[in-house]
Amino acid sequence: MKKLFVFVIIWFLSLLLFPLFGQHFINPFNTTDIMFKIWIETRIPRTIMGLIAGGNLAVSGYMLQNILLNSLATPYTLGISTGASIGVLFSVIFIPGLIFGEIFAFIGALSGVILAIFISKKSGEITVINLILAGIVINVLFSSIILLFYFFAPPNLSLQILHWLIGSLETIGVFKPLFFMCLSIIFLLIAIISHRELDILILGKEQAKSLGVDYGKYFLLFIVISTVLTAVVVSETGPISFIGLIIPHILRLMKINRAIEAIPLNFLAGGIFLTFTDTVARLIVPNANLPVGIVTAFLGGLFFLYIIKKA
Amino acid sequence: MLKIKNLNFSYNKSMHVLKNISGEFYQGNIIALVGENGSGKSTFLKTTAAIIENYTGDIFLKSKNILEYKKKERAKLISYVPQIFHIPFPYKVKDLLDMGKYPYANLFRVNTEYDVKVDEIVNDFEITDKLELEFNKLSGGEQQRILLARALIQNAEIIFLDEPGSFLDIRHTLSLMDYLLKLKAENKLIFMVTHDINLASLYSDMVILLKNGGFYKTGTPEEVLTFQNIKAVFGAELYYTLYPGTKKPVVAPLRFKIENNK
Repeated sequence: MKKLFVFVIIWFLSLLLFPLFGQHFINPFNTTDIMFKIWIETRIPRTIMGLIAGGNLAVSGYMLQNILLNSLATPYTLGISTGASIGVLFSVIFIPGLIFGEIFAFIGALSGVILAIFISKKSGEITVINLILAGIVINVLFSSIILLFYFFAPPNLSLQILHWLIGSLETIGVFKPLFFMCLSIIFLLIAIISHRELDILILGKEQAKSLGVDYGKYFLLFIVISTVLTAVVVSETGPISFIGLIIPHILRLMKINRAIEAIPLNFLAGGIFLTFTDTVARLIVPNANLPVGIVTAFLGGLFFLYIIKKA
Repeated sequence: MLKIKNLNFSYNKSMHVLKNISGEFYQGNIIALVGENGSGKSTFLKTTAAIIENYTGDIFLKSKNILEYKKKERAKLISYVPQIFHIPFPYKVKDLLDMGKYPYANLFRVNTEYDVKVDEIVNDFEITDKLELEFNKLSGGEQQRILLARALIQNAEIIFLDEPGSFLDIRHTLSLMDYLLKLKAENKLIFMVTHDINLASLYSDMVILLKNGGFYKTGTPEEVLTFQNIKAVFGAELYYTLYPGTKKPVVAPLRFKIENNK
């Protein structure tokens, strides 16, 4: 409870303070009309987007780790991220100017997961290890298709694709972030309601069944939730890596394992981490608008090394 | 209580793990399953506990097919303690014990009908001081006691134990067996896979001797655990005697033979 309280406070501070930083510092008590407009129309939406994106990726990672019994599982493991990426690229290239291109991210992410499940079923019973192997195959296949898109795209489009592939929180207007926030919260609530099952699934199929859990149903439910949470993010920000791995891992080191604690805390911590790195990205190279994906991977990598060495 | 009719199961088409098993079992009994490695003991437990569901034949629990029960309702009647296992994350002991209450939980909390004295169980298994520790960091014997405690917290009428004594020292083994006798007095039905012929003989009411996926012999320990049967199933010649007083069979390694050969 105490941890939750602390994280909620830091989360709200992130929401209030990070939008003030950027190319020009915005003094909330003495601001011009233009700066106010920038604040409202780009910086705040960007911060909200970061809070959702980081939060969703962390929760999705936590959830997949639990059900796949593997602490290295991330939204990439089952081809969710790369599937969503393909969906977005498809819409960018073939149907430019589509207002809700995000729908293609869902289709892509879902088709990635469904393909992974299908492949693992072909090789016998759907076991965790079959599913992970199938996910790796899907990832490689999809990545090659993405590179193909990139290779054949005209120069201006390929630059856009590259920028998007690195991952960036740029967004305009507050409507989209708020819509994504609502969507994410609905699915987070479903996950929190099913917290007992999410804990029990770490015991594996046999034990979960003997405790009376409908294993197949909940396994699928958690895959769907993490797919939706990831697809929401990737459709808007591009596939930001590492958060789904590092945040659950750090929280587990802080003894946060039980789903009822871990779901909200992963959401808060993931959001805080991503908005923080995004702010660093904006400040570290002035005027460059460095995509946050680069900074997340770099800072995340260093931090992870430190944690591993210390633990 | 539990009725099995023509049970057959195979993991793949070529190899039958369970062959034509039938039987009836009643409350207030301890039933020991004995047999060599790969004879189908564990598979029999998993099938009867409805963990494996794609078998042929029928299993009835209180005259209702076990596959027709709702999953949570079935978990209130059947609990299953696996052999030792590793969990991938550092969950605390108390979190694991809590999972035993799952069949009684609704959306928000544990059902008010649930009246198991968890503290007593925790005390009986001597794990009171382990509650806040990580499950993975405990020894095999401690982990086994925690899994047993969880099965009792689940408060089922039938308890399936897969080699419950395999990691316990002799004192904890004996206190476990005494605990099983207490559960038997509370009218529970207990199935126990064991490699310890002496425990099976001295504590169980019925012994099932398995061979190649079928029931080779069933009956009281005196009837089943004869010198000939043991030799036929395990292919091992043992020192064989009858326990003073109860006249139950007990065995020990036969060392003379080896030494005589020298």
